[in-house]
Amino acid sequence: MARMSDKSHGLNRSGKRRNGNLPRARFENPEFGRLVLRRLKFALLAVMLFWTVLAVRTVFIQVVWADRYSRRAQGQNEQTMTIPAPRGEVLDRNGSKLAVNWHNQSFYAYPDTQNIARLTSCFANILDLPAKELRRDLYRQRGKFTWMLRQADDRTAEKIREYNVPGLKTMPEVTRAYTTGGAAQGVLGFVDTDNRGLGGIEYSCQQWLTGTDGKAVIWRDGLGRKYTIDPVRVSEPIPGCQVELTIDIGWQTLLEDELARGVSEYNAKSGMAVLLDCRTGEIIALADALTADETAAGRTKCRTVSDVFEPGSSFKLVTFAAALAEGQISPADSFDAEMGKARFSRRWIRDDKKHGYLTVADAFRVSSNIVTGRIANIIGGDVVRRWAMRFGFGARTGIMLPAEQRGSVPDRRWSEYVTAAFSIGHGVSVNTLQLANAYASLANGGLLMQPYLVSRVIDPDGKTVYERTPRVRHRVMSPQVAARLMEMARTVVTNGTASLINDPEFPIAGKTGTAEKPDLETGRMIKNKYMASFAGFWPADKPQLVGVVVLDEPEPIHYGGWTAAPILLNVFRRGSFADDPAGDPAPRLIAYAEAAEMPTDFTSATGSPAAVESFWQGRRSRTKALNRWPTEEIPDLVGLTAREAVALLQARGLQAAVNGTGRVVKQKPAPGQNYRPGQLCQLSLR
Amino acid sequence: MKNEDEYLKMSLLDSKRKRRRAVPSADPSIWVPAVVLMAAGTILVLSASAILASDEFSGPAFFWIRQLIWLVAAMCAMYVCSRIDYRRLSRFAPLLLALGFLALVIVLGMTPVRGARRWVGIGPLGVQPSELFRLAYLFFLAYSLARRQERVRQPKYLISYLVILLTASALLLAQPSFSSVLCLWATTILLLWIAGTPKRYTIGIAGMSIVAAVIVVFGFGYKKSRVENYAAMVADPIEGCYQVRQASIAMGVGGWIGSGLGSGWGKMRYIPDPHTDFIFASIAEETGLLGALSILFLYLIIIYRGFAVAARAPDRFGFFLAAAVASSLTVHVAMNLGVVLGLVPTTGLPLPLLSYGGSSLLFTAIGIGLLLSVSREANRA
Repeated sequence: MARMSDKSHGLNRSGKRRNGNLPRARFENPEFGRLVLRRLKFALLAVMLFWTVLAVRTVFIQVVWADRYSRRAQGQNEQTMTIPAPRGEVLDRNGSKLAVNWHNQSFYAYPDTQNIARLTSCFANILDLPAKELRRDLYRQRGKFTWMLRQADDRTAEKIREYNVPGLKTMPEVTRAYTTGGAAQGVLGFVDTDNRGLGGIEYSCQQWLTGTDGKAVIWRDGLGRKYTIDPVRVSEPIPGCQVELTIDIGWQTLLEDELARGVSEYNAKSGMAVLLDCRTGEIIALADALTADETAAGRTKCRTVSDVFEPGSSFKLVTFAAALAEGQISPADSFDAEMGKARFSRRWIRDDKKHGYLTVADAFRVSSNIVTGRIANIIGGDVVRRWAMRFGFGARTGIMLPAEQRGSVPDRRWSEYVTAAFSIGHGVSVNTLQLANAYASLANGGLLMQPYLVSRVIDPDGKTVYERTPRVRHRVMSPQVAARLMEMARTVVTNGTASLINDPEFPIAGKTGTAEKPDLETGRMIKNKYMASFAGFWPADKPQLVGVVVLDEPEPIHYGGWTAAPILLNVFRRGSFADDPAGDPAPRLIAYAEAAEMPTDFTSATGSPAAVESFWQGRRSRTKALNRWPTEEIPDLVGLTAREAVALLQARGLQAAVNGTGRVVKQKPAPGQNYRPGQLCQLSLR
Repeated sequence: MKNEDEYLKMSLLDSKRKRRRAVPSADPSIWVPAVVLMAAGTILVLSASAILASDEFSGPAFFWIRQLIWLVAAMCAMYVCSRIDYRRLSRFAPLLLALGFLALVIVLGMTPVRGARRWVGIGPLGVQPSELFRLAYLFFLAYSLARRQERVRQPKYLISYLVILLTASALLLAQPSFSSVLCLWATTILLLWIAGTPKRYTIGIAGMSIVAAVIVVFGFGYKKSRVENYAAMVADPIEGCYQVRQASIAMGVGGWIGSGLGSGWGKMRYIPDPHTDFIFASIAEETGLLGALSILFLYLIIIYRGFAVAARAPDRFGFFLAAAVASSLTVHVAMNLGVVLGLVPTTGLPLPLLSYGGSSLLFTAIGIGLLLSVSREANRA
């Protein structure tokens, strides 16, 4: 500064040195020159003041408010992207994948005048849409986020990428897919577009199946474009846990097929069926055939647990078990069946056929209402009720399916009539699974098992987070009583109400039920509307499976022994012809059986069929906008067994309707035709 | 005037006779900051414009190459102008002004670019006649004020300046280029005030111009919205218009020492004009408070030295020429930084010497060259 003033560079100094406050330039009026110089200095002062303001403002923006602005910058520059975690897979007991995930791409764009033409030509071609309308729609959407195509399959995505449309962006998506081709859907449930389970296992095992979405940060520029080529992954997606079911997809498919066929054959409104491993309580199959209304409304529940009904004669098991176990009655005791019509406290109870004196065993065989009623009145209504609860009625089975109804076993004033009606399965409501589980106790020597559907849950690291082994709830009756009841159940088939299905070469045992349906408004029974049911065991001598089939209003034949029983027979028969009937009896079964004092000599386990080719290789296009499917041809199935044919069809996502037994002789649609996933393929067997 | 030719001959003979050391040097505290700013400007323009250029033009260096060409031209022009004796040019002042007006008329016949007719194409490079006019106008004003001296206090002379100014404003608004009109008015009022216009006239003209600006803004709806949220913007730039918000965010991210040259995020298409009007924000983000204040300081040096040169200019023309160049620079820098820092309603104006834009660079450099020429004479003992 000193040097500068010496050299007279400075403004003020120079003025001072040169004759007061005069500029060096000569003005005619020195006074005016002085004014001009003064104003020049003022101007400079003002400039310096303003510069101070600018500097202070800069300091404020860059230092004092910097944090706020940095946060703001982060908010607009960084975008957190969700990397969808695949949902856990659902497997059946043999490891066949029932529910899997597809990783696919969705395409979106912000249409603008620059890319509408390209977008139009690309998607009009690929989706086969009229270009004119597409262009008009895109024009309307310009500047807005627009889904061009949701969940395109790989092939379509590849094609779209070839067009190289500017501004077209992709988003990875994970879609739930079921490989069963419609089978087991009631058990599996379904998910919504955000992959949240809305029914069945998908809902009840939500906390296991849902993975943890990963996060990635993308840097975006002011135009919203991604700036980093690869998003920086903050956290990796963790897939959901794998859920293993006790379901056997082969039996499941079989049961559903047979039930659907039976429902249409016997003109029933709907049907429900359960297959249980009677030794372990593992649920092998849960099937329901829906009414037309329910089908139209979409499947929302698994009716085998969420619907209850009056069991009718199938419930007599409880009365007979109580009678034998309480020791007041022996199988040889005989009762008067009063020729088909008897009074119980001034009300009539009828039998289907007229009988004279019947032994207890015969009464079970021919399903005599009158004798059952008399027996119940001997042991007492409250005792029968207690036994019903002992068999698990009126309480939830507790399997992992949503919306289970427990039914009701009401306590009442046990008049003669009420006791009798209760003993034959009226005034009580049960669900199909409860009924099956109660019958299972007959076959396993008197133990009430805890039925279960989810056997194991394995997390992505392979660690088991949940495991269910067979568990005995309690002993219902002694093995002797169970054995005696089993003998009686065998006679039902050989010489009783289910003698229609008697086949010496394929012995099964069971109990029929034919219940009049109550009118929900009047409470009276409606004539000619029945719930037909059959609970059966297979094989009869050493039961492995217990099955229950229930038909709602079969017409014109309404007897359980004539309708439900043949369905179950077909299921057992076809299942037993499986290529690999002897599934591996897991060691855990033996261990548990020893603990529960059960016979451990089950040499053959459940008839486990050949694993259904589970993962459907030919990925179908899930193109919603298009609903066009990749064309593949139906295989030639003639000459194959039903199981082989069904497996082949299922592997392609087709549904099979099987008619008859034996080998395929005719198929419709014919081999070589194109098909649509989910399409029904009718097979005739002989 | 008569003996001017004589003087010219003499001075030429003189300069040949004298030793080189005797030629007074241009003021280094003007040209050094100016050259530093211009040189830094090209680098910063590259950093700020590369993304935009590769997005919308032929390549990342699109703007940079052009800026380099203009830089060479501007440096040469500055050097040449600093070597020319400004007094020899004074007689061309009316002609220059006429040329400036001609250019303003010619540009109105051009095809509009982005809704405005501001460029006249010379080969691949466009020139903004408004910048040419600005220099010619300053030159003429200095020339005229030097001749008039005290007579400038008479209303008739004032009115003559206003007529020129209004004509120019009309032509500029027809482009339209509202910001250059604003700068022109601000510079003129400042210069006339320095030149001794009575206070009441200065206040009158300033008041009138403010009223006129209000009428233009609100009457014609021109840039209305920008003014409307002005108060909120001064209180907090985040609340202001998009550009200022982005500029503030970028500067805030820069902090004390900046994010490093080339690694700013504001230019990633957040700040709309990162290499022209808002280059200060880009610089502040990449070089931090340090860089931002350095640039403020460099401008202040030039302006301070400009006014000092005026005070020491050996003649009145030199006095007013230096004052005019310094005032014009002051007004442009102050307006631009005012906009970037959210102190002034947004208006499109380049930052002299730093922003991309050949015309601005060239004519500002010529102006500074003239200032250096004056400083050379001022240094003559």
